[in-house]
Amino acid sequence: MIYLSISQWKAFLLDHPLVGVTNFVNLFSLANFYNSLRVSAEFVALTVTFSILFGLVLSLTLNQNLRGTNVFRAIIILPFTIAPIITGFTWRYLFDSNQGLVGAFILPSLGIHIGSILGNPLNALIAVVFVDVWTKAPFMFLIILAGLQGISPSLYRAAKIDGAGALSSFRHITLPLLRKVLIIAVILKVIDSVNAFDQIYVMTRGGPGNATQVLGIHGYLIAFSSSDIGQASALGVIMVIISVVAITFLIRVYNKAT
Amino acid sequence: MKLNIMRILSYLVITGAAVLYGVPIIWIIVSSFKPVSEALTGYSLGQVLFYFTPTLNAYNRILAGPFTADLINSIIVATSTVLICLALGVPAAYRLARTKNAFTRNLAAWMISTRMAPVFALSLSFFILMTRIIPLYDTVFALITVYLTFNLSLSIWILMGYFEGVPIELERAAMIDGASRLQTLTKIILPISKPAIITVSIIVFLFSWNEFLFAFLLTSTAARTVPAFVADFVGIVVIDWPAMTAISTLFMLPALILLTFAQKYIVKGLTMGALK
Repeated sequence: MIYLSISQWKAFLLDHPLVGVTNFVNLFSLANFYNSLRVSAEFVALTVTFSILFGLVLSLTLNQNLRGTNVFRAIIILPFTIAPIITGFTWRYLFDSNQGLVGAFILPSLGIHIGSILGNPLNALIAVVFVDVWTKAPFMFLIILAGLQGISPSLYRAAKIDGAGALSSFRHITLPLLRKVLIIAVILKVIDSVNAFDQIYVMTRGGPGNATQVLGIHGYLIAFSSSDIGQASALGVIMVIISVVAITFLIRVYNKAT
Repeated sequence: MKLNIMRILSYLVITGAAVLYGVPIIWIIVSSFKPVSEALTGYSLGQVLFYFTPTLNAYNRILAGPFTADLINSIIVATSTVLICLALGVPAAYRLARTKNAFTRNLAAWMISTRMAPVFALSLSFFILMTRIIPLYDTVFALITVYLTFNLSLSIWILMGYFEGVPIELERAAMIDGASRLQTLTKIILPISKPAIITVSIIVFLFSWNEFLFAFLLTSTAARTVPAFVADFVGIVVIDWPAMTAISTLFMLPALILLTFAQKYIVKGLTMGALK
């Protein structure tokens, strides 16, 4: 892949000379590249935060002995086991301003008239973030739940005897013991968000304009609309570097936590 | 009293989540039985959900089209990936589980790294590889190869963890009774490892069944799987939603069935890949 990034792969050319860092230089001169960096940064920050928060709330709730936990768990993880491209289309349909349950029915009856959701830059970004969180929070929920179940109940009993309330035992028992699991969840979600592609592709294809053009979509468009595999690979190398830097940092945090 | 408030709050959260996750899926299934797509503005909820004559039109339409061939491709790709993963993974995992050295201890890091590989960057390399160097483009073998690289290491890892827990005395006893290594594996280890094998099969199946990017880039028509077929709808402005939702309904059936009957294996497989 690094080889691809420094050679010239354009459509219909038979030989592929090595061109050094030209692909990178060209990439850095594109305004669109900085746009997709910014969009990806926003996307990663928002999806990681909200999917973990939502996953944490769900797992704390379902970790009690409530009735029907299994059924609820099945309903919640179902979307995660369906192809992202199908769930992407599902939400594109739901958001549709003429025929969708949310876009044409629920929002207008709540008195919110924002027209086409995916046609407006800001709303489209919020929508793709929402759908990503909706799809991936169940996975975060499963990981965090597994972590919660590893915490011995006797700790909570001891805390209760010492007079600790629900909130303080969450702060002093649950959070510290959950830290490792939470960091793993963050690592997995960061990798997933940096590489986001499927759902955004089917929902907006990076649009409107380039409002939801994350790095993956940008690279895809360079590779197959502008037919410049070399430059797209340069972008791929940059995505790898971003992931590696982020993961190395998080692993360092993880090692400190243990 | 305080406990009760917590309980009520918990049930509220769960119910909210169930609505948030259940309704879209129900909406898709209901819509696939609608005769034509229709505008919803100005209707009441009851009308939106129930006021139409259910019909199988959408299903007849899509099954008459190229969807059927793509569905067959999806089935071939997913089942072959599972079978090859098990055929290669079981012996490999067994050998590794019974060998203790620095290599097997560091294996975990390598195994995880293949699952975390940046897919977009790899997809371009695979695209060039399959179109220019090895002529596998638009064949099911291309997809099976790619899916194996993503899944084999994870399968070996899950199986290895399980095999390590099988007491070695069981094997010794079998061998004293005259069983060969292979017989020990097939007659003793495999039957008690059924949970691990089911877990691996389901996780690998769902991955291969749902995978989109590689299916989209590495196939055109002959080996196209359903996710790649669905992507053809992306550029269309006015989508035939009954057809689209019928495709979605058929395509999510395996996940629905597996979640109903084998939920604990899915949960185990998903979390095992991440924690340990």
